[in-house]
Amino acid sequence: MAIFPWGGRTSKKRTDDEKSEATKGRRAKKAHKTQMAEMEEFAREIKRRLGVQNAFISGSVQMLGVSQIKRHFGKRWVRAHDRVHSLICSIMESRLGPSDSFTLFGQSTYVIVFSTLSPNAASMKVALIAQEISRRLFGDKPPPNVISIGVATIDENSELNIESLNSGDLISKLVDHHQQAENFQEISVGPVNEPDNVIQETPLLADTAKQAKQNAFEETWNSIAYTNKTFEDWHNFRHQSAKKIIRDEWQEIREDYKAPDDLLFVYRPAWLIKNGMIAAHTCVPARVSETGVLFAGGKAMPSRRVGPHNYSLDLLALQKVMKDFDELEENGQSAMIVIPVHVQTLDITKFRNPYKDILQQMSAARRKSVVFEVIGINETTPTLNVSNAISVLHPFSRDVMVRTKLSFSNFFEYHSLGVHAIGVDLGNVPMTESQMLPAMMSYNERAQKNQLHTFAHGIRTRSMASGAAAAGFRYIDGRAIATPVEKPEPRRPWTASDVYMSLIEELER
Amino acid sequence: MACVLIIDDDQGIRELFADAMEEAGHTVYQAKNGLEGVKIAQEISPDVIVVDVFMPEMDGVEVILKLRKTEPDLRIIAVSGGGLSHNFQFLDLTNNLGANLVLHKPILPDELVEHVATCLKE
Repeated sequence: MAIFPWGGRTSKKRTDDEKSEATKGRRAKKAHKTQMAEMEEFAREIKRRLGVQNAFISGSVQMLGVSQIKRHFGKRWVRAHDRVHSLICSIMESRLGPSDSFTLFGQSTYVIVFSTLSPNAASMKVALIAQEISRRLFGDKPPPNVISIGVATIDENSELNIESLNSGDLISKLVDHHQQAENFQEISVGPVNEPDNVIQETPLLADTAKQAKQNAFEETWNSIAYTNKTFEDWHNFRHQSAKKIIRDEWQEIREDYKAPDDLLFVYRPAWLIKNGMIAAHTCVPARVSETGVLFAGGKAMPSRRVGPHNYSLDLLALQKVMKDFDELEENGQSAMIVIPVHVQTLDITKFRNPYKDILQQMSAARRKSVVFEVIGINETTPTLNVSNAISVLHPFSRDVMVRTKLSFSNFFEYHSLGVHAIGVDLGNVPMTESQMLPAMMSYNERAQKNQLHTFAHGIRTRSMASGAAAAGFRYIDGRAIATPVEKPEPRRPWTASDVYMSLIEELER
Repeated sequence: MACVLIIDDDQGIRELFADAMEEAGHTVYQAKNGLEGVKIAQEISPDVIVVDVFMPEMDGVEVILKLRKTEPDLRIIAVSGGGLSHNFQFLDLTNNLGANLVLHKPILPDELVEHVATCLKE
């Protein structure tokens, strides 16, 4: 059970501020008690109706408690209530799958039943929904713990329990992982040591950043242990690769380096600035660890930056995109999807062939909706390897893009390779914004001279968004642009005013 | 004469504009980005601010949004080039969000002085 941050204060002489804080604390506590009572009532109701306690899988029923929202609205709640309820319903309807369902129980508890998701995936989905609701209602910096999350669990005695995880507890463990260069772009965020102007994708977390840091440290420590072992294995793989491993052995590789069961993929919307629309979605892996830490990008695998894991990730991302294409086509929709793939995956035969096997299943129509982004390139990557990767991908895609460092300068060669665009992940650049703006200008100048379009991932502030637009980036994405979605979506209008919408709404209140 | 705050991350341009404003008899304050600009504006309550759109830490659009909320009578002149992209949608946005005047760079310092004078008369 979560520990809630409302410690009683015993000082006899309190300042007005302290009294005000104490009053707020009491009100918050009261709102929480009401919320918990409602959730427990729900559990009793479920037991009564189902007659059995384990009729559903632990973790598949989750609850969003919004009583704290009511408290924050105060007297305005009477007028705002219907609007808030409609907003929550519209977010739920757009984010839940066709076989999931939700209902309002009591005054302020939304019960969500997931039919197919694992408990971790359901938690992540609920966290994203909570984040979206709070952001739409309160802007970029909503009050902490404004939405509480309850999870129905079955204990060892087969008893049904409602485990209350304040959203500040559940998602607070999401931490930012900046050190992911050469992997997929970052999507996870956290408030740890970030400047005020950084837009937080998980704004509910600020008050428990310390805990998140602790969790992150523990995870990193475990990862290091794993990495050493995998490095050893990787050398063995390289050795075996020289002996021309036959295709069947790939199956063994996949078994050895299979992804964690709870690996998820989300899509980051990319803004095509000139045309004023969200024109594409980039597939990004993510995983919530057992300790509740969200890993994104290359860190979604237990060990990162190590060959076979990246290849597994590439393969899984491609499979996921193919599956999502099926769904889109079933619904008569289309979407442009960007699929990151490591240059090394396409460089080594035993990894390239299984990847190509899937590519060859792509219909001609689907190929027009796919853009590949070649990643994992650094200063020492031979241009020939990049060229080979591009030639593998070109027949199966609309375009191929290449991710480089911000300092990259070999633009002429890339132009001659038929690259559509080159770009950077600004989320991983260790520079201040003042340093980054001129560097972005310079990068675009060099690219434009070679008739290459440019893109930028990891835009985290509005000033970086406007700066990137001014610098000439054609496509940009990141938390300052739009939050990740679970499925790729068709193109939709998106203009500069959308970038500021949450701030405008916040200031209007 | 008026109190003018110039917010621009380009020190050269900022000082050029500041010199021209001082010559015209205005009291001038300078800020190198939006964060600093909003802070100074809240302290000195200027009559006019001249704000660049593209700046680190806090851009011109955010500055206008924040100051319009607290200083509804403040005269705001937004200036910018379209950058390498020649994209003016952020500059145009400042017009919709409450800038009194929107100017495309390059702007001569004397022109800016005239625009400030016009703004003050309105």
